[in-house]
Amino acid sequence: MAKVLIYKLENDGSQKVICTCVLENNSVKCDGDSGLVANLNSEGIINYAAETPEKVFPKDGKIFLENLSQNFNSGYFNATDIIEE
Amino acid sequence: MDALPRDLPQNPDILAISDSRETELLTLPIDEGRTKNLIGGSNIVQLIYFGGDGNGVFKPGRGEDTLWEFPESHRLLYKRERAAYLVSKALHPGLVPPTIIRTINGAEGSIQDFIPDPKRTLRETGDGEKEAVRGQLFEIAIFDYVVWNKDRKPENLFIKDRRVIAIDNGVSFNEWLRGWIPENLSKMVAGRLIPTTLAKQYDSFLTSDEKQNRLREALEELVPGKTIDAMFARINQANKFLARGKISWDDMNDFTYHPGSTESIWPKY
Repeated sequence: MAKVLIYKLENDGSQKVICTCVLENNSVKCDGDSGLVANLNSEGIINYAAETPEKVFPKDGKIFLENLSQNFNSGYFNATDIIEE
Repeated sequence: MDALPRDLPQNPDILAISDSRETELLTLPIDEGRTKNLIGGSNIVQLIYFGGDGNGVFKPGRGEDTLWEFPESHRLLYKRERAAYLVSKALHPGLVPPTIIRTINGAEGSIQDFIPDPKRTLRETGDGEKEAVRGQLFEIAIFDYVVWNKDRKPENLFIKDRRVIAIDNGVSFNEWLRGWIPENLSKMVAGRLIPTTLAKQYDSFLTSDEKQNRLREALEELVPGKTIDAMFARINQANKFLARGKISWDDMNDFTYHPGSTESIWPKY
């Protein structure tokens, strides 16, 4: 199973998982913080590997999962690379 | 559509506060034993402690996940963080937290003032605060257009003390997404009245050669010259519409990467 965790930074420096995105049947399902999940589903994220600008969405599957860590790297909200279990 | 213009919060001391905090971020001793390497993200990000004087978010240059396909457009993100802050300081005071370049243990990177307990834009705010910040979302859209930042989302757009704060601006000043007009413009700008203060700030900047030269010189140490030229073209383009008092849906296609340039919007590799 391939998944990505999205962490939120707390004031004391600890990080809390607020969203988990899992690859299921060539599509990604995200669970957790309702606002974040809604935004991922409606707005998507940038595919930084594309030659021309494009957004990718959970329905696009692995390419979406692969780009989460590039899109969430502010420190306040960080996404892991794909974790294979 | 807004019935009344909403102005931006004004703090006459904001530039002095920024200068003071920049100096602190540059000079305060760092409690290295408490530096925290944060989990996740494609780039290395650390939370650093200034021993009782707040925290900073440190992004070292050598920790960046460079995309080799784009020779310039996606490298040196830490310098672009500083560049975006300088533009904010010149045109949108208080929008981006103070950000400096500093070397820690041999690693040069950006340090941005840490914002504790931020709210994520409208999602986590009450109705009263939403009204207070609505005009500032207009400001964010214009700022992102000027610095050409395509990565704006609720997770890098905070509200603190009724002030919208834009963090994580490292993908600004890039050329890769030249053909893609920022989405925020249509959502937050089109059809809305323009905050009076914003129009005045742009006018004040563009009528001062000194301010423009000072910003250009500072940016030349951080980002490629051609991206600075394009940015100044965008400032002038934004000002053209700000001066009119209103930006319509029909105007959206005029918010291009480099107004007036005949260069192709698509990069050549």
